[in-house]
Amino acid sequence: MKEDLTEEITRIVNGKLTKKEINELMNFIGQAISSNLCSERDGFFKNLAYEMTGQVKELALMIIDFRKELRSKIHPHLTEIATKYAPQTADQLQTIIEATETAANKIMDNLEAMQEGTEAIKKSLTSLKQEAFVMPGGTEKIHGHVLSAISPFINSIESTMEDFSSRISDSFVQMSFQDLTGQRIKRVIDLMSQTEEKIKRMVISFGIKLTEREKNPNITSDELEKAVEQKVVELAGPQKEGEGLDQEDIDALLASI
Amino acid sequence: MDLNMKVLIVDDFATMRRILKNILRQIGFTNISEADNGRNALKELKKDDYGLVLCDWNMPEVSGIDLLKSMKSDDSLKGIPFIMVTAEAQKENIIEAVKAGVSSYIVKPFTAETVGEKLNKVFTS
Repeated sequence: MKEDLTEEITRIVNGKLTKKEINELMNFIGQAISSNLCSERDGFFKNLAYEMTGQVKELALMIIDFRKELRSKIHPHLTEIATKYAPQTADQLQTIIEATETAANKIMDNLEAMQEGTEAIKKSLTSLKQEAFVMPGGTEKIHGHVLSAISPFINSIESTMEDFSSRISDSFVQMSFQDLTGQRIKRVIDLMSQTEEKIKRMVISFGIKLTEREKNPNITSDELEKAVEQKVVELAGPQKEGEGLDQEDIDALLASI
Repeated sequence: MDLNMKVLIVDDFATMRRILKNILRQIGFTNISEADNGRNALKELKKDDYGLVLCDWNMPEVSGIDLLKSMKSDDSLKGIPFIMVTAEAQKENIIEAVKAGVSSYIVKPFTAETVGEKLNKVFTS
């Protein structure tokens, strides 16, 4: 490219400048371009870094607000379970899976009881029919007009019981909503956990780097990275595990961004 | 189809295991066991003689597809019919399961009739 520029300048000046003067002009142009580009480039990336840092801060605040909102909008009983009975389960979404599982199991308990009752009635009806109509001498035990009166009634009950059995089985299968919603929620939980981890990492990294750089403008990149790793290890202590973004520590870091 | 055979239901969601157990009982099966992931299922399968496995795909530790592949590479287990019961309905998943040797594939949500039909098909084919 430099050769092309030299040729072009040579052509423009049309022999009015010596080779030495052209080289000096080339050097001057080179320096001028470099210094402009550098300061422009620095300015560009600086602005980009500020913009990105600002967006990361917004994301972190969004997640913190979302958690607060979820706590306030979720059914009080579920919040109670999460905070009182399951203090280690910081994730409210996991609590939803557990609550729906409990409800589905209670419904299935009732359905199973109804199934057993229905089967028992069906067996009794079959037995009654056999005694009244099928067994040898059975018809002699019951008077003709009584027989003709109860026969349709028994058949009707049998048909209703069949219908009940079918509906109970179908209701049982409908409980699979808990599995299907649970799987979807689990994926959201995984995604949220991974996103939170990455945002936490970015907040820590930007926060520490900005703070340390302000204290000591001569700090090296290696020293900054070490400071970030130290903070990451500090925040990953046992009391912080599973809690996602910790309010106090992140607030402090966000304030520095 | 021998209704006395031992059946293993594998799913990490207890609700789903209970639903399948209920359906199998309605069909007439009486000998039903459960496992909550592929690893535990494999341990269970080596303990006893099973005639059928109904298994979910997405599970912690060892997934359904990995359980299937493990079973197919084990001479003592490869002959056991394996029905995948899963919400994974993408073509690639079904192809992968077929390549791994699955006997049948049921997509959630399913009906009791579908389970019955698939079982009949597996044991008459």
